[in-house]
Amino acid sequence: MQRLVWHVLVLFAGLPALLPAQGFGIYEQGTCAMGRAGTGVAAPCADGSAIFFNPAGLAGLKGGRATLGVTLLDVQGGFTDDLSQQKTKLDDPLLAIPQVYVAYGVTSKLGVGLGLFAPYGLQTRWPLTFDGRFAGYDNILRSVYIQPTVAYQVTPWLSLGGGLDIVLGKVELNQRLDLAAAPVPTALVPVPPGSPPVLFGQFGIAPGTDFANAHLEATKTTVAGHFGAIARVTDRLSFGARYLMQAKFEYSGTATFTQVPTGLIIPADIAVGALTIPAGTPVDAFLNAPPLSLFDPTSGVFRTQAVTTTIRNPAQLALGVAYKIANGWTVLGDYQRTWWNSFNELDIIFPQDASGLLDRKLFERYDNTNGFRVGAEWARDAKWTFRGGYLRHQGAAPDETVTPLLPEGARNEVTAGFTLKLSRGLTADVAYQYIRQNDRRGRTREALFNQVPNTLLNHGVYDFHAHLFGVSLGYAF
Amino acid sequence: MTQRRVVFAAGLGCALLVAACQNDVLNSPRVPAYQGGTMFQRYVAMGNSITAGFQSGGINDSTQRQSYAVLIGGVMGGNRFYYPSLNSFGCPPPFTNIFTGARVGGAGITGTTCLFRSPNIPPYLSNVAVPGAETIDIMNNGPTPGTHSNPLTQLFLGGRTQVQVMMAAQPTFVSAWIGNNDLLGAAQAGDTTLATDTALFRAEYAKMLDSINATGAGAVLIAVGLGHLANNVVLPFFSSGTTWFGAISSGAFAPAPISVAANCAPPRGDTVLVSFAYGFGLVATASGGTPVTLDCTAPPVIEPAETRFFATLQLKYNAIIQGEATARGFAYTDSVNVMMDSLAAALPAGSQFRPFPNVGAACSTFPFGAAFSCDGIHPSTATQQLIARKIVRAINAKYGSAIPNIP
Repeated sequence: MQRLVWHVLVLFAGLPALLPAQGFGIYEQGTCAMGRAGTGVAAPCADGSAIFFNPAGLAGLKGGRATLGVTLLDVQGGFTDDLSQQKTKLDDPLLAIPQVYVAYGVTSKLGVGLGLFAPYGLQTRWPLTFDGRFAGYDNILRSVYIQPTVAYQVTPWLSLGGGLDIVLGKVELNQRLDLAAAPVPTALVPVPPGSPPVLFGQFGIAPGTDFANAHLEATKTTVAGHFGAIARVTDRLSFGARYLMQAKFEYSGTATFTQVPTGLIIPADIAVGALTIPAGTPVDAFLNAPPLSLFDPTSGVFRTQAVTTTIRNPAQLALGVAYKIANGWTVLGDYQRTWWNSFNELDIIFPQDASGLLDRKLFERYDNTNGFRVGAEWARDAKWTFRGGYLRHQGAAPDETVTPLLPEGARNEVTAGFTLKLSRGLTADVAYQYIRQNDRRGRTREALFNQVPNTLLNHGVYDFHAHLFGVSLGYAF
Repeated sequence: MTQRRVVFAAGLGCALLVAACQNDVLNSPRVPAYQGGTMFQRYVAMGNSITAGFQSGGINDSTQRQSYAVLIGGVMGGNRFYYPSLNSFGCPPPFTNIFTGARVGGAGITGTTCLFRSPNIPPYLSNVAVPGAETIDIMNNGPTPGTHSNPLTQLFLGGRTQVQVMMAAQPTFVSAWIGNNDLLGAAQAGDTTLATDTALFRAEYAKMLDSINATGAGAVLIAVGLGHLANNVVLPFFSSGTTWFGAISSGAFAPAPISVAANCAPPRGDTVLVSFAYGFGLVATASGGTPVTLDCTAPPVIEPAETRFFATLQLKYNAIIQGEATARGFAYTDSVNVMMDSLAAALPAGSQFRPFPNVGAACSTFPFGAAFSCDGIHPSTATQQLIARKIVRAINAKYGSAIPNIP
């Protein structure tokens, strides 16, 4: 069992997801629920996924449930530049999001469980020809929640549940550095106090001149809580609510830099401050020799060094209703509020960089979002159950923050799925989900000098859609 | 009944879905709306100092904006026309008085003053021209032997060539005006061997056009020159030996100890050209107390045979350009030379092309004539405007387009 848990953790760690929900949220945490558009706060699926969809749903469980599932994501999208009208496509592979739930009804009122899921995370991978590589070409944000859960039926109509989340966080950013946007050290070209430094672009270096590759990686484990309640008003009607607390990660990791050859040659003698660079000097040699020595492993600005940042997975509240109509039909509706305003500014700090040139402040300024889900389920007989649903949610990123890191926006999604009972204790779930994100204007670069971005920086359109396929096996014991 | 409800619900769901899927209002690139405008969505200009916007012995943002290329880019109405804007006061700052050496920015500013480019770095360059560029420099940078790179080559192109920067801009239309320096440099030195020979000119020019062809862009090729040398139209940077003979003989530079040889006198002096730099260099030396003599047989003075050589070379260059344009289906225009011929002949005499500069006058009074800026070589703002009009007409005539007139 210990070995199995380890393998599952490794699987989670290796396969992050891309953008299935607003912000960097992921809602596809169970194949059954996915088939009905993620509804289920008032009536979670009986596969143990209540650990995520509403911890109170474990109360009253008869026997045990173990479910192992995976959601495959086929992500399509890209960025079309206004001027060139050329489209750069996302370079994401087929991704997989696993889920594991084990739940057990200890008594008729008390249920316990353990779940592994990843409600937040993203991966955006762009080709190195994309202008957005300077913001990040392979970016991973991963949060694996391990949630031991307990639920209790307080009264015949009210169940309460809660879990402690141990959250394993990892962030990874790979980006190229553009020499045109790089500041010339003020020791070489002094500027008046308060003035921005001179950029290499002012010496003619063209935008899009890669001169370094940056790899930032950091990990952090933190804790959060998850609570839920379900009120069964009648045999047919129930209401539910759940609240997932914010998880704050104070990441600490390492930044490594490698020089990328520009291949440029200085064509004529040129004065840079007090220094005259002779004609024929390779730019790459100039960057890596005194007085700059940018890549010197002990003293260079781009030496391997520590990096810190703080990221908050936002709190989320979901409210839901479920109503059993007749003849095996149940309709469900959920509303979700996610407090994305906690993802406001991203300070990437290099505490060992005395020059201060490396520190970055990314203004995200996300908006809180509302999402609406409707679903229906039809239990045709003891063997087959069919599901369908539709959901819509707002985009969290404001108009000025639609970037290669996370070019998200408002989405409409349709889902379908079914459960097939294979044998007395074994069931299989299959679901499909189509995500269509509204095309959205955005940018490929961050503002210079950590300035607050605005929509004037937007110079193209991001498009995005995805096909999700979910499959899981459940075992009742 | 249940089936109907399901169908109704599904229909309602689809309607909601369609309504909800409206995209944001998205911008599209600017496509000029006039006839044939699609070709001019993204214009790139290649060339030398005239195209870059060099005036009065210097260049800065103010003069760059006066370039015919910027004017044409403006009326073409396509995507924004970006030039490598230089910080004030320029690199070098233009003269305010070429006779005193005063430049924009005042005290402390010299011909070696060179400020960097503006911090607003454009995403691409539309004006890729570099002052001093000859035909070989279109595809080559220093320190390759035979090239003519200078600090502006670095500041404008950043280690790339004009062709590389042109191609990076993904042009739909290109103008090329290159070759003037292949001739002018030799003329200033009074040495015909320094001129680019026609074989090299043809080869380098063809390479440039191959690159333009590779982009799929249309093009206009502009004939070498600012007037036809064969029509005895020369830049006011050059004055005849006769003119210098008259000025020195009449004591225009007295009491400086400068004299003039008899070989500068007419009729020979009428076909001899003395550059401003050489002639006034002698005057400056004499003003320092050192006696000097202007001899119209010694380099860099251009003697009659050399004048004929340069006039013929200009015709050969332009025949090559015209032949290439015809073969490749590009527009070709010699109308700028024709226009300059007219300006040189315009009355009152000397108002457009002064035969001898108005010594001591500030640049604001056009000491070389109204057609030229304060170095006697580069067109004035007004002439840049006339050049732009001529080129637009040539483009419209070739491509049947309706690019609006330059205001």
